[in-house]
Amino acid sequence: MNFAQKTYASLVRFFFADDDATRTESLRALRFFRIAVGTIVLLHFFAIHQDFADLFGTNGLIPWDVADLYVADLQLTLPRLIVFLEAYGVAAGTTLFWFQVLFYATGISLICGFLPRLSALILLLLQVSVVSGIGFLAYGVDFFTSMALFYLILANTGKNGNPLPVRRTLQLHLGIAYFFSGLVKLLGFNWWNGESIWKAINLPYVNRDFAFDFTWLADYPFVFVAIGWATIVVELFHPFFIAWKKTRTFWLLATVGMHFGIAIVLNLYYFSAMMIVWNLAAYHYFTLEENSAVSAAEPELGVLA
Amino acid sequence: MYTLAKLCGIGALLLVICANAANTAFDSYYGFYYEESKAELVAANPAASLAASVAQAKPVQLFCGYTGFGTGYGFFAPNVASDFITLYEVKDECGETLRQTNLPPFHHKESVIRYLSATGMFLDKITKDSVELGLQKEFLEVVQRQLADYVRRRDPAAASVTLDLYLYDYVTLAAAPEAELYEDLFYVDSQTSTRP
Repeated sequence: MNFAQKTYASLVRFFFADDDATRTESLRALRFFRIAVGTIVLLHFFAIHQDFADLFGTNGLIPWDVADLYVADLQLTLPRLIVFLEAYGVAAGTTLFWFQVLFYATGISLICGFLPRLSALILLLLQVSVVSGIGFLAYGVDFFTSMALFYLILANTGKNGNPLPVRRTLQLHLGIAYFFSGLVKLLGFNWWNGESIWKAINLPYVNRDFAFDFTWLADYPFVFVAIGWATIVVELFHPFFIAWKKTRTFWLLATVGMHFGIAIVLNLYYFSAMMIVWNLAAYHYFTLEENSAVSAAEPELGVLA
Repeated sequence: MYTLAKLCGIGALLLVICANAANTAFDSYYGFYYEESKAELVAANPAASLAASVAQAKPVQLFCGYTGFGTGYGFFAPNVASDFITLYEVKDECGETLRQTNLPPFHHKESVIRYLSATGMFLDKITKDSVELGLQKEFLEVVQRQLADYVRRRDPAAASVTLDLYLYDYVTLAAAPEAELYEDLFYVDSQTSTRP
């Protein structure tokens, strides 16, 4: 066997191993991912339901024709859909209403595992058309939501499925994301001296829900220096130490803890929840008993049991 | 053959992820340290040019537009960006101030997060000069006026709304122990929407 053949065989083993234990593990992980992502998507969508038309309609906070200057020609967007249907006599309000109904229906369908890949595809198109229509209103969680839905289109979480290739890609994706996030932080001198952490927690609209008083900590700057460096270390070395079995649990806890802190202090609940779900789906041990295969009769929702 | 095709697909996806991650990393690094010569430095760096050429290829951008894979991963890095404070001054027909508010009339906290994300676009107003901004200057003014317009349209008593934009500045960690004033606002610009 030459080098190329050996490499190919290793890659096939890494991405497509089909033994019972690996299959069970990846099935449970991706079923958890599907249910958790579906739930977050629905909650996140519901979290703006009264402002939906004003944020993402054609005549809201930022009029669609202004925002549309920055949208690619072939991009499907909600405002473009509204304008298109208006030409056929469908009122904007009607389109918005049925759009939301379809969004909730496909979200529930995804969570329940009813035609999950088709549900993920429709939900991805709806999600993308919302956030790219008035793109200035999008932030981190929207991208991770879209990417998660894309992975769910690819993942066969049915009883005969083996979504290991998707789980492996998810693991590599997270590794790349955290590595670059840590690297760019390492390049910013304000992350070395605690100033970035200090600034982030003192931005005007964060830390509103629990309103922690951090001002007294200014007398102990080493706390912020330590948190800054800890963030860099956790992110930069994430792909290495989470791949190593001995340190995986610790690194997973550290990463989840970091996102929990972001949720509590910066009040970015949906972003944090989405990142925690990505990490758990990629690296948490889902197999309850060693070598226990998923029974063909096991209901899909059993993953959370 | 099918397995090889799947491996190639995974490889292509990982390449797109790496290209976008690297492209954003180079962009934010050069933007933070060498704002004025960013374009030349990116062009002179083969890795940055390669990442940009992959990330900005038409098919890749189309794919990213429908899947979210176009995102970078430099959250809060290399530097935490400053936020803006918006101040809407609502006036009646006589020019009397009816009220002042920092946010449009949203119903949900999540809407505020999205709104703040949008106000981040105004950073270009203070980091670039008029020549560099070009048409974007007018675009940002239009957006600012439209935000004021949105608030005016939601208040039947409002004849005009002026949106004052301020950059929020918080004392640095190094200066905090001796500081008397922790918060400060730097005025950036105003735009007014008037009832037709």
